[in-house]
Amino acid sequence: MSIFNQAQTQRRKTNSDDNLIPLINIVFLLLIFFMIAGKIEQIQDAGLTLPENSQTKPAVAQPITLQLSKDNEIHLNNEVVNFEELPDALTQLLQEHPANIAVRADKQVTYQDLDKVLDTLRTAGFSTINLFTLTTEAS
Amino acid sequence: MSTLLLPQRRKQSISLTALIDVVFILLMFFMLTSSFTKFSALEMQSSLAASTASDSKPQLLRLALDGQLSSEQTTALTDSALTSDFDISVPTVLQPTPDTQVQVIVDALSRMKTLGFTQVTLGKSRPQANLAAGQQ
Repeated sequence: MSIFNQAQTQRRKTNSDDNLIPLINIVFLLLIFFMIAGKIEQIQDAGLTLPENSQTKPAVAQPITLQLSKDNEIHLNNEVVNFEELPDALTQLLQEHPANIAVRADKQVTYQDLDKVLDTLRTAGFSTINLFTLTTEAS
Repeated sequence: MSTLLLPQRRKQSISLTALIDVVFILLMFFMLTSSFTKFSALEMQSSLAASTASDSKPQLLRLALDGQLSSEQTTALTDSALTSDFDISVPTVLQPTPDTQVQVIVDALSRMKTLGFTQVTLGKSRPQANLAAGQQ
C-alpha cells in the first residue's frame, strides 16, 4: 500500500512539473524578447508630449538634458529650475560636461518661450543644441 | 569499476518552481525598465557657431503660425521655390512668429532638412508686422 502511495505522489510531482514546462518556455521567450528589443534608459518625463518627426536621425543621449513643459516649467537634468536660476545652473554644468545639450520641449510650447530658453543656452556658451523629437513612421 | 564503488545516489528531480520565480523576477525587471520609444534629434548650431563657420550673410526665412514659409518677397514658399530661390549651402535663419508651436517648428525644420538645407538655425522671434527688417 505504502509503495503504491509513494509511486502515486512521485507521479503527481513529475506531472505538475511537466505542466510548468510550457509556461517556462513562454516566460523565457518573453524575457528574451524584452532583453533584446527593449532599451533600458533613464526615465525622463516631466509630463511632456514631444513633437513628432518622421525624419530619423537617431538621438544621441546628451549629458545635459533640459525639459520645457507646456506650463513653462524647466527641468534641468530632472531637477526643477527657475528661469532666473537657469544661467547659473548651466554655467556649473558646463564646467563638467561638453557644450552639447538635449532640449526636450513639449509640442505645445510656443516659440517665444522656447526662444528665451534657447537664448539663455546660447549665452551660456552651448555650441550644439539638439531638439529632441519622437520618431514616427513616415506616411 | 570506480563508479561501482561510489554510493548509489537516488536520482532527485529539481523543482522548477524556484527557476520560474527567478525568471519571473527578471521578466518583470525587463518589462518595467525597457522602453520602445525612438527619439530623433534636430541638431542646431548656436547662432554664434553658425556665423563664424561661414562669411556669407545668412538668408532669412519666416515661419507663420500655420507652418508656411515665406521670404521678404514671397509668401507661402513651395518646395521648388525654396530650392530655386535659396542657396541650400548658405546658413539659413528661420524666424518663427512668437506664437508658433514647437510641433510646427519641428515640421518646418525637418522639411528644410529634407530639401537639403544643411545649416538651419532658429533666429529671434519677431512679430508678424515688422518682419522685413529681420536680423538674427
